[in-house]
Amino acid sequence: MAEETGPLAALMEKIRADSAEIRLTPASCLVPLAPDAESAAAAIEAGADADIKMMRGSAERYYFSDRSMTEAYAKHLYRLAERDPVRLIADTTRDESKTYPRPTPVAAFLESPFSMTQPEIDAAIAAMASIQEYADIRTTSASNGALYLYSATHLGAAHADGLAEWIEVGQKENP
Amino acid sequence: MSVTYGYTGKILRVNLTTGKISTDDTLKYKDFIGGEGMAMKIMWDEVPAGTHPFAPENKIVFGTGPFCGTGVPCSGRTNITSLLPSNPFHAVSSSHMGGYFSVELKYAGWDMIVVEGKSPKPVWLRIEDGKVALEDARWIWGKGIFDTMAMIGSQMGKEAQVAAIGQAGENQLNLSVIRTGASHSAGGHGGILGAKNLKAIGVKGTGSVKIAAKPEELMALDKYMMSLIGANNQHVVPKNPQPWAEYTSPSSRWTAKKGLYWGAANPPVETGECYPEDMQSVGLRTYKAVVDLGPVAEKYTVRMGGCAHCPIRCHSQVKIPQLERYGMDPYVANTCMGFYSPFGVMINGTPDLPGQEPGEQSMIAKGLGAKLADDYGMWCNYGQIGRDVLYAHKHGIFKKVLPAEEYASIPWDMLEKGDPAFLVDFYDRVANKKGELWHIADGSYYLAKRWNFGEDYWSDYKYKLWSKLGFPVHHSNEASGQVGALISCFSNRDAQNHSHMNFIAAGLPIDMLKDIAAEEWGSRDAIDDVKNYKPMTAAKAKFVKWSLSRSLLHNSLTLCNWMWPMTTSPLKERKYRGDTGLEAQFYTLVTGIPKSKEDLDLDAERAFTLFRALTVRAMGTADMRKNHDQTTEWVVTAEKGKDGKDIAQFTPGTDRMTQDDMEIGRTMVYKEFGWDEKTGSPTRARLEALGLSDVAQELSSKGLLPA
Repeated sequence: MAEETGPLAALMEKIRADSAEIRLTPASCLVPLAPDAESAAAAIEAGADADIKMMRGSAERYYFSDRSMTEAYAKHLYRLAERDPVRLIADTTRDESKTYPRPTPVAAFLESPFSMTQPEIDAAIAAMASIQEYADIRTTSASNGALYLYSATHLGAAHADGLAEWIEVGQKENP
Repeated sequence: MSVTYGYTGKILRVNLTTGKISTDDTLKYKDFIGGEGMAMKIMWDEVPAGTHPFAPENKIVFGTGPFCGTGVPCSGRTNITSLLPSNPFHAVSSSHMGGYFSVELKYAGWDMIVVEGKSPKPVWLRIEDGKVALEDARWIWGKGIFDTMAMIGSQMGKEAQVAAIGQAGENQLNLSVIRTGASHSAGGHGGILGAKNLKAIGVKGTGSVKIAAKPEELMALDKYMMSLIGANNQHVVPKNPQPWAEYTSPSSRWTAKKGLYWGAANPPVETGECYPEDMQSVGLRTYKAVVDLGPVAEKYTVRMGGCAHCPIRCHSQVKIPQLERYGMDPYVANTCMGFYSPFGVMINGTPDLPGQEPGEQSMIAKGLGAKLADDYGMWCNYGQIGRDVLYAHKHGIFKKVLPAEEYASIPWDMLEKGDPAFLVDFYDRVANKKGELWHIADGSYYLAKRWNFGEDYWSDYKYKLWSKLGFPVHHSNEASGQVGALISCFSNRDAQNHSHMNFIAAGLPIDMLKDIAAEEWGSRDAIDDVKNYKPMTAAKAKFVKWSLSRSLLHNSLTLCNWMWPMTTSPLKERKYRGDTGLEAQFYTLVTGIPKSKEDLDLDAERAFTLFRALTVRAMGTADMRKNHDQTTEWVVTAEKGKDGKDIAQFTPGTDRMTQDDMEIGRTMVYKEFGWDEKTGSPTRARLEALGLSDVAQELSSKGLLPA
């Protein structure tokens, strides 16, 4: 197959280059390579290679190449890009409760790629409690005081309690 | 002599009573693979039931396997087998150490060392290729292991590898170790060397290990194996999100990440993202110091170290200048229990002092404890010693059992306020067998009797005793319910089995693990989600048998069971599958003896059944179900939830078992091994089918075969 040239190739090259640097490509950043974000999106949707993936945000589309990062990691970057810490924490928690399943240590949000501060995390969790959309997000704590979050949609309370205690305390006593 | 591949073909036999040094043929034991398997056979043939571990008639076997010295990844382990002093029946058990000792022994031309008798005076064994001699140990007797190694090294040269005991071993404490290198300890058998007046073994080899296959064939398999390897404990996903990772696990030992450094290296080394395909960064994946010692340890970490032929560097090598306050040099190396356990004696913790960073004082205490235990050669009974101190302290037992003068002389105030200096006093008293306190190193069974511990010592989960034989949990019921629970029931000490644990804790979603379990053990029901267990299944019994046999296989080859088997891999393109046939592929290439996966598993089963027969013989009963395989009470009692109510077994949130289900599990595992389903003892038919007719005959003559 001949190497693709032209505007689409340039768009894909830009997305791949950004992904290699471990960052998403917002559609708005493709404008120099296309007349506008919409036409960039249309071109990509019509003919981009399979490695080019899109995630639709509240006001922006984001692209990445799965040659350089997994969808799981891109989701983290996407949630960070959306600048909604409450949703970021809730959706990350839901993913883990559903996938593994396991509760999520709140301390995980202090670390990369989230790199949130403790006050930011505390504020987000406090805000979550009063928003119906996040009613499934619950907290549990291990006997050492470490706080964990879980989604009641995917994980029962007793199971979440037991897992948090095991992850935080039990396995450290039985390494 | 014909050429042997993998094996050197020679066993070194040393009789300390007569001073006779002789050579035996390794291959007459080849049905038992190597290391632990061969040692089981030697113990069966040569050490009669009823022998005391510290008697001259007891033997101790240092075993390597055909893989040591060949470059097969993670093949630097030394297996040590003998009677276990802390076991109430002195049943045969094995301890293991990493480091470079086994490889050096192979290079010197020896597969194993069998030590018997008792020297009339302290000696150390000097092995330089085929030149073997017993040397006067008067200058090192009474010294700690660090000084002992330095003094032997000064005579043999820095390339020599030394295995030695400290004062704890010399004083024949049940809880003592044999140590090699800076931090590799085999727990439980130190006192046997002490009883034999054998302070150390120094070995230096200039030979090599011959391999049957063409070098490029072994290299190709090595390369394949390296593509499947994860981090320590074969954790195949990272702890933190990484661009390359689909999955993560907060429990993973794949702790490397961008911005995390070996901070005391010069210049500091960034562990980085460690892409699974990058073979050059495999050694950076496992940054254990920040796990064992906390995040504060980052700036104290010089590097991660490990064992011969192992790309996974799981031993933290740190420089903690604060240790000089206690008269210690600042360099400490260890991993896991080596840090946790000595520190566990500090039952109130070690709160940070004003001006210290968060976690600094506990890092100092862990470093200090590791240094002391490693020098005195103290064993911890897999973390139990701290819980024993807790029980005795909480119940006022120290005050009852220690003479008043001794009690008054112990700096309890240091223990109360969490001053790490308590450890200096504690380990001096215990290792040097001072007063009454040293009996804390008798091990749980003997200690509980001597100090009259209550039934709650055994029945309260807090003390984590698994068996009234005196050993604690070690990846037991919390490791896939009945699978880990039953594995622990077959042991004579803490189970030391990671065949199941490495798989369960790989970090992958439970649905994927269940799919892999179905491929390996016939059903997705072979494992359950953590803290959400279902009743016993036949597939779980298969998983138990496989785990027990594979652990023994690894201790025989020898491979590190803290890495092997390669049941999973970090590779998405393989759907995270590993390859459980790798051991057989390596065996065939290394030795030239063709073996399938099933062949090797059968060899391991033979050795495990012999181990079982040894236990039957030591206990003098065929009823293993009743007398050996039972657990303490907490294991089969409902635990309380946060609301104070019982969490019913086999509902989410608990890992407790029921007695009825465990009995079903025992029956199923006995059946898998082909043993008597009522007693759990090997039958004549199974023993004979495994080529163990002599074992059947002896058990029969003693009335120890099941009816």
